[in-house]
Amino acid sequence: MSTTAKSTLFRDPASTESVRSILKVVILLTIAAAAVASRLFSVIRFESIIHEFDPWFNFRASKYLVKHGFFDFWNWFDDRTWYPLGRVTGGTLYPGLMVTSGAIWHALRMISLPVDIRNICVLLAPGFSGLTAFATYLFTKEMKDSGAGLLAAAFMGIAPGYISRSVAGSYDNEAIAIFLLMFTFYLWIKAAKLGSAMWGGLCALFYFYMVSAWGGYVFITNLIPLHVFVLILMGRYSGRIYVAYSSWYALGTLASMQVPFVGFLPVKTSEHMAALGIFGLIQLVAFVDYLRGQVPSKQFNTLLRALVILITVISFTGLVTLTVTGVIAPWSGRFYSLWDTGYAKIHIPIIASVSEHQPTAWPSFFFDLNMLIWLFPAGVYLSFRQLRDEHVFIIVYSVMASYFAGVMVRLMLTLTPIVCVAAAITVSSIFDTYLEIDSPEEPEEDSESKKAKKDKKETGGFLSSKAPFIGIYSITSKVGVVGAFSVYLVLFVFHCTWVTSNAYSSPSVVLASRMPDGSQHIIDDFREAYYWLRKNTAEDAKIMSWWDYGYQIGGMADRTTLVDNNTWNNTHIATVGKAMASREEVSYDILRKHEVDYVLIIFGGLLGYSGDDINKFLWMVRIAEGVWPAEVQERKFFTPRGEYKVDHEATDTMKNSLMYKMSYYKFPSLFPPGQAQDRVRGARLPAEGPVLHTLDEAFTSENWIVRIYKVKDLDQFGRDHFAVSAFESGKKKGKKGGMAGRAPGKRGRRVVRA
Amino acid sequence: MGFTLRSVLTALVSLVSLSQGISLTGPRTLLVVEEDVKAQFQTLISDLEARGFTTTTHKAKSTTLTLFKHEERVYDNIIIFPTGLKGLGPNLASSSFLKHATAGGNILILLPSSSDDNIPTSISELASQVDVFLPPKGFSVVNHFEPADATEREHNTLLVDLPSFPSDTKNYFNTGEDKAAKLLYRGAGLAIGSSPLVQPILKAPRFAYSYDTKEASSFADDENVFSAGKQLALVAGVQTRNNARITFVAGSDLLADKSFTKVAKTDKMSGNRAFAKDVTAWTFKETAVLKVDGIEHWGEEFGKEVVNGDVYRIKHDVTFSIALSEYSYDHFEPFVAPVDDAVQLEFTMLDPYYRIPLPASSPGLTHHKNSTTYSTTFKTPDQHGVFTFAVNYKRPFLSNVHEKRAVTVRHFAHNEWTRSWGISGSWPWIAGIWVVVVGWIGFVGLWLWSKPVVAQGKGKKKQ
Repeated sequence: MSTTAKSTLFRDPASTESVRSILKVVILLTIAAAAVASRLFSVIRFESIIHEFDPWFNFRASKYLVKHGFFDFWNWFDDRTWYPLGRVTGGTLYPGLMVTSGAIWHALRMISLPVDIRNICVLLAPGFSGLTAFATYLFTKEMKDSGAGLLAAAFMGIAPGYISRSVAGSYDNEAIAIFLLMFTFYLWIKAAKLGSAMWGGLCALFYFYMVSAWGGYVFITNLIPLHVFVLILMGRYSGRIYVAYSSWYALGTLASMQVPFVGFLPVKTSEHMAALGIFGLIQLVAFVDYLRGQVPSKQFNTLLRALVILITVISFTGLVTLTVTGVIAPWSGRFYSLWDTGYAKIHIPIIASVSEHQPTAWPSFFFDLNMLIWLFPAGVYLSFRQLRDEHVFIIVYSVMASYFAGVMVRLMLTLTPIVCVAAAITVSSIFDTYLEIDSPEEPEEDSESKKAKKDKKETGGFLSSKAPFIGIYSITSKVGVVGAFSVYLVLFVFHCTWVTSNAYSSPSVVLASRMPDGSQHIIDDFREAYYWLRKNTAEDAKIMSWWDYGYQIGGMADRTTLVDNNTWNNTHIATVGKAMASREEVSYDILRKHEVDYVLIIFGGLLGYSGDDINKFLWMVRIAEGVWPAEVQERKFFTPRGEYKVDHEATDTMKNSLMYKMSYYKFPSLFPPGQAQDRVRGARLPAEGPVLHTLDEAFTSENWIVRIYKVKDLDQFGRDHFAVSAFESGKKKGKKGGMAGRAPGKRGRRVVRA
Repeated sequence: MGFTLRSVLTALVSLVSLSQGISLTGPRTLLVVEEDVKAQFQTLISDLEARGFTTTTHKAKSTTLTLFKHEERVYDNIIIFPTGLKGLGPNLASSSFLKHATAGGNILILLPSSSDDNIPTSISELASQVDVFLPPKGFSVVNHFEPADATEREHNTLLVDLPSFPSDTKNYFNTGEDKAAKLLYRGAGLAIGSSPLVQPILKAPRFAYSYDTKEASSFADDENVFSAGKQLALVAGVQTRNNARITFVAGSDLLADKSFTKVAKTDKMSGNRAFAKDVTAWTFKETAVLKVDGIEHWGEEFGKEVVNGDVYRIKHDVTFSIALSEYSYDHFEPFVAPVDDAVQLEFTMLDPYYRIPLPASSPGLTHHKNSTTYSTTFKTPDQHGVFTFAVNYKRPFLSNVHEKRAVTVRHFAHNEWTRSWGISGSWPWIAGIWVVVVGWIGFVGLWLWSKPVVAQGKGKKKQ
């Protein structure tokens, strides 16, 4: 729709600038509306609810911010998570998201619109997606023209790659970060184009906002220096670049250091060294440039050579020394995993265990970007054709983002904007070329002459003057190409809508399934269980679960957790893993030491919900093994043939592990004897279910997805729980008297007391 | 409705009885005894009744006897007298006793002195659950070196000294007037396991041992001796985690009327009657019950305005105080820890960061009558997290004090750090900043005020 509107607008000789601007505004508003609307599927299908895992923490933090004010939030020490270590939450989060929604909340109250913070949180991502579309428009406009900008905005508004992280309820850092990313890049392009310290300063300001909002700011921190570096290598150093980069780097770095979580990282870690290095380099280049004007050329060359060698040696030695002495932190493991996709699995299982850190499967490029992915290289090619400074940025961005998107699924998000931009440039170029006639009926000569005229006029346009314009003479090809692309665009819209509606709009805390008659059946076990916890347990009860559910327990059940999705302490997570993977005797001591009251697990065996804890169990084992290699061994959980089994072939270690026992406790009683079936793993379970001694079943949700166990207190009479179970089940300890009489020697030795 | 009314009545009754001054658990005492046996324990029972206990007598095989009604304890205390039966009635199974104790009730078990009498199964089961081991029928303790009555051929009646304990343990079992009195004992003895919940109250003399009277062995060896010397307990007390008390008296004659006499050898009264009082008083929680009257903790920086707050900061001075009193028959009195013992405070997060003695000191913020205040001041460690003030005072015979107060120890807030100018090391850097600022302003001023000498230079700049 927008493309045709734009095209006719371009062609209409009567249209004035003001009409164009009004149309542009209308189109942009429409795009924003479409972007927001397509993200509301989840609210309409389900309800206004926070999705998934991380958003629950962000939501909880936002509530805290709104309730206690900014300074309390800034200094927030959260004693409800990571029990008993607690978390310096104010200093270990990116506050941008919460502060943004807090500001919106206050602003709305100021104009007498008291909106629940939950609704702000739910709708923040769709709202910002409209702004992202606008930022993309501005960015692309700098690259080509406003026509391409509008196309890019439209693509950005509905591209599933971005929608996946910004549907209503997906209240995550990325919700605002992608907007900030695009806007920062726009400001950077603007600053680099104009050589203006003001734009550079603005860029730094939005860079600061970005730093405060998302850890992905490192992408900007490296991309802008890379852009500058490439420009310098291309011999395109200019005063504009110098002013833009210096003002951005100096202000942006100082500003970013004000975020507590970032602190001194910009001067201490390897990830930030590129920006610092380029800052140094550009000073040198500027100095050399100045010398060039002052010193005769022969001397200059000698001087230049000496300088370059000297500086390189000094700075490299300095960097190595600082890294070796530990002043500059070496590359973090997360960073290594970007280069070697197998690295994390071996060295940092906790990172590898997150599904969104896995390498991307190629179909997902088509799934998330559809036709944009094949228009993308064309857009990059067109950038090469022109290759102004800002086009170099597109090329650098494309190369980097393509690589990273291939390495990690979640980085698809950073690729999406540049794909939209490049694709918009392509489509816009195609339309520029093929929509040169007002109507298909117009004679060819006319269109040709018009084209020629336009070509003359627009020598500075998208086609460089070096490439002479070759007109399209055949109406058929025009109609064919334009028609084909219109169809593609329409299909793209359908694809985006379909993907959004089917793949990305599930809140994951509420599951939907289809009944045989086609009606929707809601599976609400998670909220049922969390609500049970909230209503039936003590205010200060400590819940142990695998870290995936930490944020949800904190957010929905409002109970203290041991570990959560902020995986800052590997040992603590490994402790939980060990408790889950060990025998009851070992686990009970861990549970007592951490004062755990309830253990919560997810079990999908009844319903066939595959994301359950037994399927995640090997990660628990691996993470625990990383810390206690002698006590937990992954090998012991596999059958001699190397299979991961839960049925009668399961190893003893597996059968005696707390996780296995909790998952299948009383499960066979649901079925006729010997018929118990685990629907996730397709395994038939032993008729005799596991027996629990140290835990009591406290709650099991409707579909058995969530099971909660209460940790038994110490026995009143000092017995261990196995003895208690034995006594209660009628297996009395042997008649002590008789034994004592017959074997007094033994008895005597045993009862010696100090 | 009736249930509530009943609870109210129970509460009233216990209030009234409290004012009379008796057991903290309550006065309702069940005597499981046959008529003929009861006659042998007249003094014990009347002594108890004189102290305010109300007794109900049931036969061991009684079918009307029930320990629980509407899931509420019917009796506060139970005394099981020796019956000679192999089994007790249907409502006196070992699990009933455990349930009774779990509900806070106390049990005093008198085992038969005669080696011919049976020990009921439920009693030996109960004993094995609490880590006390009873010898089978036929065992008896002898002491050939110090017989009570030289004329007795088997030397089965013993003279035992009143209990004495190390200086870190309070002695609740030698409170009679004659501290040196001897006890008359006859019975089989007990062996006790390593559970910390069970403590020997009365141990056998060094040369005594328990042997099988049925085996005609002329000497004692590993095969026919149950236990010997100080490892052989004659009276053992169990205190469960919820402070219910179960006492085993291995020979019932210890508390029987016939032992409340003169000891032939010393020609003095035996200490049995006073000891009976001590044992029943301890078992039925008339003594050695600790009460926490109050816990207060506050940060010295906050002053005493915020008491028992939830949040402290790292490196804060914190004072913790606990007021303890001890019950003695009819009143609470200040609890004084034994000389070589100390009440300790732990400041714990997973592991104790501090374990420091709490000395008796002046009262805290609130003055509690009849209690001793133990308090100390310390600096919170440089580690944030959820810490617990824990007083874990578990000593032999004293009821358990396990008080925990979880508090949050937070990090420095952004405005609590020393300001930059407060750190002398930062002065060169601050000076540097100001030199640059002033220098820059000066430079700009100079630049603006100085007239350009050559216009050419300006043109170059523009380029």
